[in-house]
Amino acid sequence: MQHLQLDVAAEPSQLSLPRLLIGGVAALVELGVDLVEDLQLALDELCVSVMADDSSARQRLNIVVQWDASAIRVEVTSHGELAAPLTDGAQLTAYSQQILDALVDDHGTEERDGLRVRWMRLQKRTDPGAL
Amino acid sequence: MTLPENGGDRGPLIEAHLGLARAIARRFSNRGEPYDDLVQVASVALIRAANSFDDSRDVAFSTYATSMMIGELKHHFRDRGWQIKTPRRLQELYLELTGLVSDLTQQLGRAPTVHELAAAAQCRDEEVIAALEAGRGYRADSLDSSSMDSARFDRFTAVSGTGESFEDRAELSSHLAALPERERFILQRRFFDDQSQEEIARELGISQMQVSRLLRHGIEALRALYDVD
Repeated sequence: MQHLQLDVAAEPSQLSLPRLLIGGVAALVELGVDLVEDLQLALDELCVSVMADDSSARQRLNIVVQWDASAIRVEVTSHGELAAPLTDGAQLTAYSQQILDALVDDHGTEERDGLRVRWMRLQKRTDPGAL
Repeated sequence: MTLPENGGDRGPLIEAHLGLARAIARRFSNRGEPYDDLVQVASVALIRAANSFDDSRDVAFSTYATSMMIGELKHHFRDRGWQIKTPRRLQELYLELTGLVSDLTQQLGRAPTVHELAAAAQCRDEEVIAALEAGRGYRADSLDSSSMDSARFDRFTAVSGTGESFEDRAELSSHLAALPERERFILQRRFFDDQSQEEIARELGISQMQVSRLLRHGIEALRALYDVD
C-alpha cells in the first residue's frame, strides 16, 4: 500500500487540509465524486472524534492515509493529552458511530504505543452502476 | 425500537430519532448555514426515511435514516450559493463542475471520477479537488432572489388551496416552508408560475430530468409531511 502522512493543528479551520489530501488520494483511486464527498465527511467525523478525546490546548492531529487500487484506509491520532484514560471512552459517541457506519465500509479504534488511533476504511465499489 | 407495520403510525419512530437528526445537522453547521435550517433539512429526510424504510431488509432504521439525512444535507449544500470568499476561478470551475457531474452521471450511469471531471472541464485533477472543496462555501444568489416573498407565498398557497379552509392553506404553507429551498422554488415555478419543466430547467441551468426528480421529491416530501400530521 502507498501512504501519505499529514500533521495539522487540531482546529476545525484546519480540516480543509486533510480533506484536500483525501480528495487527492480518492482521485488517484478513481472513486466517484459522491464517494469522495462521503470520504471527506467521514474524515471530518473521525478528526472531530479524536479532538474530543484530547484535552490538550496544544493538540495536533496526525493523519495517515494508506491506499491501493481497491481501498483507502485513514488513521487519525492526536499528539496531545487524552481527556480520558485509554481504557475509557474508546467507543465513539452514538452519533459519530452512526455517521461513520453510513459513510465507510469499516471503522474502529486501536491502541498503539500508548496512543488511541481511530481509523476508517473505504472499499472501492466494483459495481459499475454504483454511484 | 419496534417498527410499526407499513401504514402504521411512524410518528413515534420519527420522534425517537429527532436527536439523531439534530446531531447530524450539527456536523454540517460549520459551513455557514444556520443550524436550525440544517435541522429542518435533516428532519424532512428523517420523515422520508420513515416512510420509505423497508424493515424486511437487514439494516437498522437508524443506519438507513442516517444515510438519507447525510445525503439530503449534501444536496442542500450543493443547492446553495457562495457564502465565503472564494477565488473567482474556483467559483467558476465549481459551477461548471456542477453541470458536468449531472451530465456525466447521466452519460456514464454512475458518478464520474475526479479524473473524468478534469478531462471534461479541461483542467487538472487537483483543480477539480480544490474547486469541489471550495464549493462547500457556495450560495446561489439567483435562487435566493427568486425565493418566494410572503405575498407571493400567500398567493401560491391561496391558489393551491382553492376551496379549502384557511387552516388547510396554513398547513400547506407550513409544509412548503419545511422543504429544501430548491424543491420549494421548483414547486412554485411549476404550480404557481405555470412554467414547464423545460423552462425551469433552463432558468436553473439544470436538466429537465433533474427538475422532474426534484419535483417528485418535493411532492413526496409534502405527502410525507401530511402523512405524519
